Amino acid sequence: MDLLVDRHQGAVYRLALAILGDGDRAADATQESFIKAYRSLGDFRGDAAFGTWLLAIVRNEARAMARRDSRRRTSPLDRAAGISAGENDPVERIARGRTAERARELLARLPEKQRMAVRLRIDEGLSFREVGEVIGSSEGAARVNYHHGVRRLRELWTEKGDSE
Amino acid sequence: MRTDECARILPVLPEWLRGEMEEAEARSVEAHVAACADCGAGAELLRALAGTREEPPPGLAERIKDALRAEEKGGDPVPGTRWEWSAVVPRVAAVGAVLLLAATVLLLPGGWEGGGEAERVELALESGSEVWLSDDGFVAGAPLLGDLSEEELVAVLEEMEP
Repeated sequence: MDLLVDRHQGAVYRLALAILGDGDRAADATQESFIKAYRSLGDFRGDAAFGTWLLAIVRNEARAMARRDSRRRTSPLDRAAGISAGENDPVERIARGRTAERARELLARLPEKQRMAVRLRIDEGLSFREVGEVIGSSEGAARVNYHHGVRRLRELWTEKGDSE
Repeated sequence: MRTDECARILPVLPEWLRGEMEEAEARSVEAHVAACADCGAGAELLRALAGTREEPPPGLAERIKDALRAEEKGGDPVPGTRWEWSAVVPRVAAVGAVLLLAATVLLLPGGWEGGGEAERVELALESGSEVWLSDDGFVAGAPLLGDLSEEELVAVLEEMEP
């Protein structure tokens, strides 16, 4: 499993982050997802790539974690403005640029499936069919989620006048 | 401006931004993005988002590998999984209590009516309820069952069976 961890931990972590909006929780969800995948290897039928199967596991794990979090405190989306593990580092924030920060903040406002579809297309380069497998929808629905997500981002961007 | 061309371009913007596109197709996308404000804004946003691609925190891979090795050995509990046990234990305890109750009542010397040799021990519990002690252990709820006839108790036990 070591090789699989090295190969897939980034994508698994980023999807968990897109759902949970918190670096520490995303790391927990990533670890838990690998353990669940290990326990469920016998259920892996090979009709999807291992990577998308693993991403579907972390999607479920992160959603369950978000539900538990929301019962304990505020919605994970309320905490999604600063996302990365180094979010409090002012040097890093400046280096990333205002535009990138703003785009990420706007993305955090989208519905979960739109957020995942955009992130999986941009970060992991998944096809719409693969995105559908991960978010639990058809290829067409994945395409629609991506499309609506980008359009909504544009609208939010324009509303705030931050498109400079 | 929203056209059929926009509908064709928007889905492939990620591939265009990553440079994973045939040259002629890339030129076509580039020309459209330069001319269309909507698609230009979309491309700018997606490029900005691509710049926020996160990497896992240092040490996460090793942490996961350690957890998997522990899982492989089948022993050590893995941090982050305890909540599952906290959800399961109360249910197991409840089922165990019912089984203990049923088994103890049936095995009481002199039958379930139980006065027999069972020794009643009243404990001062916070709830004020009573706990009955038989030779086999504690029997919670025994006073209630004690009011039932043998036929009624059999009916209750039959209802408890899955």
